[in-house]
Amino acid sequence: MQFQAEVGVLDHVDGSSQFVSQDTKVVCSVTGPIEPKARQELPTQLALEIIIRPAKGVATTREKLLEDKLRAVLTPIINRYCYPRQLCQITCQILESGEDESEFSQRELSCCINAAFLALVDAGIAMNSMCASIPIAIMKDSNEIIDNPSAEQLKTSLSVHTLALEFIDGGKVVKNVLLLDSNGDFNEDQLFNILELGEQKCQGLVKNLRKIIQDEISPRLAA
Amino acid sequence: MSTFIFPGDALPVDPTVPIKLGPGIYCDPNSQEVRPVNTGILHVSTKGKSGAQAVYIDYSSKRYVPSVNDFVIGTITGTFSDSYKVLLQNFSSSVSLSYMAFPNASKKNRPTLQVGDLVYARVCTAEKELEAEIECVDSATGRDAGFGLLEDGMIIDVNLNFTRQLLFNKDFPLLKVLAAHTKFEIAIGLNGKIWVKCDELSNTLGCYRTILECCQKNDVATFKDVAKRQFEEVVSVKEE
Repeated sequence: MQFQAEVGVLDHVDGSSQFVSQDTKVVCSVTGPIEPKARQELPTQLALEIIIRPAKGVATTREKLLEDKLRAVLTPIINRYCYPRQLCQITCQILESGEDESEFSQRELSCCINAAFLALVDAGIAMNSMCASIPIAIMKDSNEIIDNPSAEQLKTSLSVHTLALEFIDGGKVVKNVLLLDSNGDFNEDQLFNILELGEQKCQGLVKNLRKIIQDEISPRLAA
Repeated sequence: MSTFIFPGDALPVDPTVPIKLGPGIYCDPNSQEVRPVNTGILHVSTKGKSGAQAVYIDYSSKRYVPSVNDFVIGTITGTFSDSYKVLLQNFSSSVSLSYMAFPNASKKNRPTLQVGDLVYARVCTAEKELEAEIECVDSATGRDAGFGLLEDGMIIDVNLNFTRQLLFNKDFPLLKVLAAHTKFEIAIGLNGKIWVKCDELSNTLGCYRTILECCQKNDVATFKDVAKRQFEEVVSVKEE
C-alpha cells in the first residue's frame, strides 16, 4: 500500500482523519451539521466551510485555490439536501507538504481530498458516493506516466495532474470525474492514458479506503 | 441479516417489495433511486405488519440531528414569550420547547425553568427545514411522562450509537454493572448526553468515569472490571 490512513484521530470534532502518502501528511477535521452564521446559510442545502492550512506560514492565495478545488470535489459527493440551513466545517491541516510548495500542490491536494472524504465518513455526514484522488506526472525524457510521483519526480516532470474520481456500486463503477487538474505540456492521447491509469489506481485506493473504514467503524457498532 | 455498507453502494434488497426508508437511506427525488448515504451496518427487516421491508443503517456519529420520538437532554439557553430556546449539542441549531408542552400547562400556569437548566424531553416535530420542537409531556395523553427538569447530577458526553445501545438494547450490561456499585438516577438522551445522579457525589463521579471509559472502549466484556476499578479509585481518592 502506498499510503497510510486513520480515521477518528481527534476527540473534540465530529469526524477526523489522517492521510499519509510518501512524505505528504494531512490531518482533516469535520464539524457538522451545525448552526451557520446568517451569511453562510443556504435555504435548501448544507453550506460548506472549507479551510486548508499550509505546513508552514500562513494561508495564502495558493491555499485559497486548493480550497476551491477541494470544494469542487466535495460538493457533488455530499448529500447536501439532507441538511438544509445547516453548516459543515471541513478543515485540512497539512502537516508535511512532501513537495516543493512554490511549484507544486498536486500531492497536497490529492491527500486533502482523501483525508476530507475519510473525515466526512467518520462524521456520519450523508453522502451520495465515494471518492478517491491521486496525483499523476508525465516524465520529461521517457514520457512515462507515473502515479503518485515523489517530490523529485515532480521536479523532472513535463506535466503534473491531480485526478479525483467518484465511485458507486461497491467502489467498482466510476460515476464521474470530479476533478482533473492539469499543469504543463501534454497532448490528448496522454490525457486519455492518464485517465485510464488513474481509474485503475483510484479503484485500488478506494478498495483500501473501504477496508480501513470498515476496520475502524464496525468495532464501534458491535455490541 | 446485516452487511457493512458504504455510500452509493447498491442496496441488497428485493426490488419487488415496497421499501420503508430508515436512517441512512435516501431516495433521490429526481431519479427515484434508493441509495445508502451513510457508512455502517445495513439492517433489513421484513417483520413489519404491512409486508414492506424496513431498511436502515446503524452508523456511528457524534452530531445529533433531531428526529421524532427521540428522548433528548437539552440545556435552556433562552426564554421567549411562549417558548424556551433549548440547545441539544454545542454549536448545533437550537430547538424550541413551548410553555404549553408541560404537564398541567395553561396560559396562567407558566413553567419555572431558567437559563442554564437541564431538561429531559421528547422530540415532537423534526422537519429538517424547520426548527425542531421538543416537549416535556406525553402529548397523546397530556399527562406527565417522566420528563422535565434534571436537578443536580452530572452530564456525560458520549457518541450517539452508545446512547442508542444504552436506551434500546435490553441486554446491554452497563446499567446492571453500575447498579451493583451504587444507587443512581439516570436519563439517557439520544443526542449523545447521559445524565446521572447519586446520593453521594463520589458515587456520581464513579458512574461518570465508568460510563466515559466504557464508551471509549466499547467492549461489553470489560464493563464489570472498568466499573470496579473506577469506583475503587474514587473511594481511595476520597480517603486521602
